[in-house]
Amino acid sequence: MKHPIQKLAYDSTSKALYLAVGERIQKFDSVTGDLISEWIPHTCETKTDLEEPKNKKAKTADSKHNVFRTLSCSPDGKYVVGSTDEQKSLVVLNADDLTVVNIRKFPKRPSAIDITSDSSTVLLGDKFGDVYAVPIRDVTYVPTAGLSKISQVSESESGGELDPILGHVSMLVDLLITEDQNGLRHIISSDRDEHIRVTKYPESFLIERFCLGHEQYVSQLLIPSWCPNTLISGGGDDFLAHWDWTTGELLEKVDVHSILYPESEQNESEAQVEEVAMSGIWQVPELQLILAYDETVKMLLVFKLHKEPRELEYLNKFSVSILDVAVTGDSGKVWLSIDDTDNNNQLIQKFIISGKGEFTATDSDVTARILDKASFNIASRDEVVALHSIALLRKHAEH
Amino acid sequence: MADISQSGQLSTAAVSNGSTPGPTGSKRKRSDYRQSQQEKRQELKTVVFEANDISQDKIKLPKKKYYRQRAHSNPFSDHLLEYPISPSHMDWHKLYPALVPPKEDASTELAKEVEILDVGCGFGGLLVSLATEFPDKLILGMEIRVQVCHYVEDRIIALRQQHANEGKYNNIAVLRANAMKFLPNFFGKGQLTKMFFCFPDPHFKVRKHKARIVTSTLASEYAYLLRPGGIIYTITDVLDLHQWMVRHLESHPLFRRLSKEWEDEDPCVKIMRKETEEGKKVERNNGDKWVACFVRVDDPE
Ligand SMILES: C[S@@+](CC[C@H](N)C(=O)[O-])C[C@H]1O[C@@H](n2cnc3c(N)ncnc32)[C@H](O)[C@@H]1O
Repeated sequence: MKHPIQKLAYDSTSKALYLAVGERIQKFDSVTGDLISEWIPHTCETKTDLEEPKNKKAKTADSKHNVFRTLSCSPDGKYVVGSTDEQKSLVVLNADDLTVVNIRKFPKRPSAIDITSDSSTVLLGDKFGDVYAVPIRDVTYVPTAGLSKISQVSESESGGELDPILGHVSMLVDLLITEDQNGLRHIISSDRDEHIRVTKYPESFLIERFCLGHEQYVSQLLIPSWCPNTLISGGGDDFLAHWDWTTGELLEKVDVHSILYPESEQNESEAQVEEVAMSGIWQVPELQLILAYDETVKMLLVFKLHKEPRELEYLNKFSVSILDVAVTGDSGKVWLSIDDTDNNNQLIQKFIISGKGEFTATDSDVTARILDKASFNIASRDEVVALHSIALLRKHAEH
Repeated sequence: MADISQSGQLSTAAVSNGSTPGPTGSKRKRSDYRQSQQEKRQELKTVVFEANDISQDKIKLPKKKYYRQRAHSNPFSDHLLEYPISPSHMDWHKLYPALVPPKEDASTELAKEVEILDVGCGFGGLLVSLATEFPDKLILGMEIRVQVCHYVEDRIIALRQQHANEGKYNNIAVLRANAMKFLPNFFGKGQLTKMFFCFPDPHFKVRKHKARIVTSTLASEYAYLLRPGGIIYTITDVLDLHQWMVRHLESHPLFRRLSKEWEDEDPCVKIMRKETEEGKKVERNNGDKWVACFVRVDDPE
């Protein structure tokens, strides 16, 4: 079988599709389906790898866990940025040929990243709630070796220790940076303790407000491009929250529990746990659609976000097991990374979403070409780390 | 997920299993005392004591020895804590029954709000002194340890009743909360005028420094809660912690350290030096006390 593709990123200018597969990153031409380049941590590095062959075993065990947990493309299309678990590192590659720009190690596991609109700075949140801002191009870093020789952020960055620009006393689960027409920027960050915080940037010592209303962890934040004052958030709650983040007002709570667990199926076994775990929220601006994925029921929900009056209208659901969605911005076309052990030859699929939220598979020839080169073979699923773990954020209180 | 439902079932089973043999000796005495205090607390917590009520005996102040608890609580763990979803969900009437009308009342718009916060208030000595220093202000202590919190509640109940004639101590209350995580659930932007950090847990090990209650990132949250002109008070007997707090608050763009002269004239500094339980302990051991106060400056334009 093949290793699932845990993360996708798409650059609409170059029409490049990036895949994070385990600890590798692959770049495809999404029009032709050709594999353009591939980054594999050990082999793609320069041959002068100084690393001693001391414990090869430990290295493979390590690499299994050093999978990419996030993957993004910089707004200018020049860089591909990902963060990995075990090595707690931020990997910046040149988008062109996937050569290393820098690899930096952080004190705690990165859990969320975003990139400023000028593509100059990466914001990285970690599992202990701190958020760091680091230049995407670290001039002091010279890529010499593989992941084993990662430069420690505290050393490579401007001499001193790197201080967080803001911090939650809770696991940071998502963050984003937004910029209004006047160039005013804000960071919106969410944590496992139900909080959503709005902070000025770069004056990150100024907390503007909190958006309070969630009763469970908040794992997903999204600002739709056609409604820049709107924030959609979701996580462990039975609803998606629709906010005006510029005032902190909770405009509506949109019930998703009743969509995921419809009445008819409910009475079968009452003891069954019916929890919501939103692991992804995406926007399809050309259709003004919002997609939200629940990893427990494995259901992709489609909503229409209306501007006047501001309302999130439920359109449709699509039962599918996915790990990520890459939106192309082109007439409702999206790439889905499929996680299906039984039908493992379908790792990635392209769909076209209609204005009513219906999914139709498309471009099967290109997809077939991509599938041919995508991912790599593994012996069994045991070689894959847990990829659906959002639901674990739910709290089970201690005293 | 099967785990969740299972443990849920287990705990209900444990409850319905009936009584297990109780503890003996001094443990028994403590649990009896706690039980009777608990009942009294439930009943009297939200009572407004009337003046000249001679029908009732004076309520005794609680005995600290029955409220002992492990000294440290992990501020990162998921305690079984109750906190409001947002400040507007909070019913302050339950804490200040004499001074704040019930939440349902239409007049809540004009209701008094908590302005002074004692973070990690311990056994409540500071609260009791501040109560008479600022009779018009609502003052709140936050404490993470449940037994300590109960002690302060019982202390306040007794004081309110004992001083019902003068109507004192109606303006202080205590809440069990993790102040490092949930302050924005209780208070709005710029609501507070004073925050006290008296003898906070030092967390000596470098690895534990993030557990300290004053850090530059938490300072941003405190700046959010304090209105411009508001004050952060800190006092500790641990020099390293003092220097840490000074470093983190001084380097924060929204705080400016106040002078020694200012400290000498401020009544709260005097109270803070003398009146907290931890401060008294330090006094007995002839330890040093390090004070630093900071004013919340205006937001930069
Ligand atoms: C050393 S005691 C000092 C108590 C009191 N301020 C005094 O001076 O006597 C520190 C107190 O802070 C409490 N505390 C520690 N972390 C806390 C938190 N995150 N939220 C609320 N209270 C906390 C501890 O339980 C303890 O009672």
